[in-house]
Amino acid sequence: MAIDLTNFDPQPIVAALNGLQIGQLLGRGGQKAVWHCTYQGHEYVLKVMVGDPDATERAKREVEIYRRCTSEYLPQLGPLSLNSISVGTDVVLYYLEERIGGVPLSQVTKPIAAASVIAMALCITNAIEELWKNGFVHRDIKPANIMQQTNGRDYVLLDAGLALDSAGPSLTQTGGIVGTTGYRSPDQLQMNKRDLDFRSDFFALGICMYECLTGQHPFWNQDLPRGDIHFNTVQHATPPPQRWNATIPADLSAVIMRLLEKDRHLRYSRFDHLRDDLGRIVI
Amino acid sequence: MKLYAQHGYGKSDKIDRAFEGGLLDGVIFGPNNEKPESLRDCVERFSNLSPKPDLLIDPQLYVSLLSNPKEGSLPLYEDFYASNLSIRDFTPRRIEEIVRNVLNFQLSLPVTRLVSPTILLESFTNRSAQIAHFVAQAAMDYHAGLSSPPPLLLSYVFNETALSSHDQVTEFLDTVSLYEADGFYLVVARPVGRYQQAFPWERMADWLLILYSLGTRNRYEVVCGYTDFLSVPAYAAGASAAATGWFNSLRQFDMKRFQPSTGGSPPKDRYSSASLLNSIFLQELDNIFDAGMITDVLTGTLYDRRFRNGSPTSHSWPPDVSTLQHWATLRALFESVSAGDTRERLEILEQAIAKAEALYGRLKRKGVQFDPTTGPAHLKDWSEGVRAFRSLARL
Repeated sequence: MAIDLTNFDPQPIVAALNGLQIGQLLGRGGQKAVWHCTYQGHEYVLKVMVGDPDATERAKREVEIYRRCTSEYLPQLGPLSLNSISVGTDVVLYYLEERIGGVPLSQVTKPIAAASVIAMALCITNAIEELWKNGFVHRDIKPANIMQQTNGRDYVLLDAGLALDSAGPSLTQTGGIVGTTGYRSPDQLQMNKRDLDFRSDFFALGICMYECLTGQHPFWNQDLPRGDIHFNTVQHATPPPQRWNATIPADLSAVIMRLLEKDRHLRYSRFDHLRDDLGRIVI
Repeated sequence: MKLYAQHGYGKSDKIDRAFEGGLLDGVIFGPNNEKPESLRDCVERFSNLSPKPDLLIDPQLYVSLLSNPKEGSLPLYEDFYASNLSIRDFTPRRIEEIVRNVLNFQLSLPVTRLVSPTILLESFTNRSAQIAHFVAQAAMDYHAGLSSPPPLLLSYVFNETALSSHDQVTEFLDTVSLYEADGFYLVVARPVGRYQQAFPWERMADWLLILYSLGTRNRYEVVCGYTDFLSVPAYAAGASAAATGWFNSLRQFDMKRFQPSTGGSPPKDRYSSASLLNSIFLQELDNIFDAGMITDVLTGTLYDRRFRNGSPTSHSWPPDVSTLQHWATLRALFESVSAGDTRERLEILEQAIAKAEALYGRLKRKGVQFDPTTGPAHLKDWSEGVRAFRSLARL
């Protein structure tokens, strides 16, 4: 059985790395733990993962994504790429990632102003485009993975740990549905994951925009007839965001509804079309 | 919405006159009905008109895969056309060669759009569909390497039965909506026998969905070949241009056109009525005149003034004038449904369908009889098809 990181102490990594100082714990589970840290005088995030074969492949992919994708709307790889260290009979993996200061959207009070939602959408669109240009689909876009930076204008898409490499080997079991409940597209729920493309991430972006603007989840709110979020995601025609707030610009509402189309060919198939439509909205 | 002539045998000076009258925006040439020198002359001559019309050439490669086809002049186009192709011939290397030859031939002429070759699809997911996608991909690759070429339209010719599966239509759209092309040239093969406007409503709904997804949502230029009166719903859904010709075989696409025929009777004279959304027989127009309802049925084009006074069959109605009047009617219909967005255009179209149904009803009460192909049967299809499409597209 692989090591459980719930109570993992990163001191062995500190001992192995000259100049590494551990800061605040940002989160941890059995498979992964994340700390703020400083290394050689600069701030980073230390990511630690269990070293079993699946997790190793996943960690390699995440590092590869950050190595290949150079958008300012995605974290950059730190000065220390993927390493491993033995802890007793186990192996843990670790690497350094750019520290993105700010607040995750999940912790921002909603509803959020339309202008901020548009700014967020433009940043995340750029991040999705950079991932797709390199053959990746993020598959886990949700407010907790969108960091509003301290300047309040820029947003960074975090945690590409579940990303799909459209050209690489599958890292999830056949039939396993990747992502977070409530933020999966109909494509993720219904299709072979090898057939996914960036339009699946667009759907998740649409959910985030809807939530930010209205404070309501489009497929999980008191208006909905059934309590099955998968059913609602695949079948339910959600009301436009204006249902919850009549002051939301109609053009913005239309963009969100298009991102939430069940059929991906009816969503945006061009990044510049989405940017054009977002840029035309008058607030 | 642009209206193109679907070129075929016996063009005479109809296209020239239509350009002079402002009825057409372009031509889609069919090489099977024109020798290479003549085609070259035509394209060059039309390209000198002002304003320059849109000029496209359908490579008609799909003819080559038919058994014992009636290829007409196609074998004379040695630069790009190959007879007796079979599915097995479509290896990656051969596809590249075919695409290169087809596009290079078009590049040697002052065409305004390049049209990729394709083969007939019986469904959107079978082997032929895969090959059609490979050919489209090869065309995009070749086009991307050209210096300032005309925009590229990817052609797909599919049997109407391919529209029976909504899931397959969705899969097709999921694929092609990612293509890096300027647009599509789409032809639906409709083996309906006699010329008529009927289109099974479920299939029509998915056809409109294709046009809406590609044209309106994904902003491609979508040119519909051989579309005739169905150009009107096509326009409402999102098509950029539609083509129709002078013979019935140039108004509805049937692969039988490229197979040896056993002959047939000459076509009857027809009149195209915007208010009936149909092309009826001139004899039927006579009956309408006798019933005192001619003004309700006339489109009001320059060509049909003669029918206001006196029995229509008593007037000269040569085929070229009938063709010009047909194009003028479609043009008038495009203008009538011209509106801001898809939803508004569809509402206007639905009103036009309802008015046509009501007019047919009044004519029937006045004792006017129609042939099954010229009566109101298609209107129910259209009405249901538009309703089902609106449901699919959530419009």
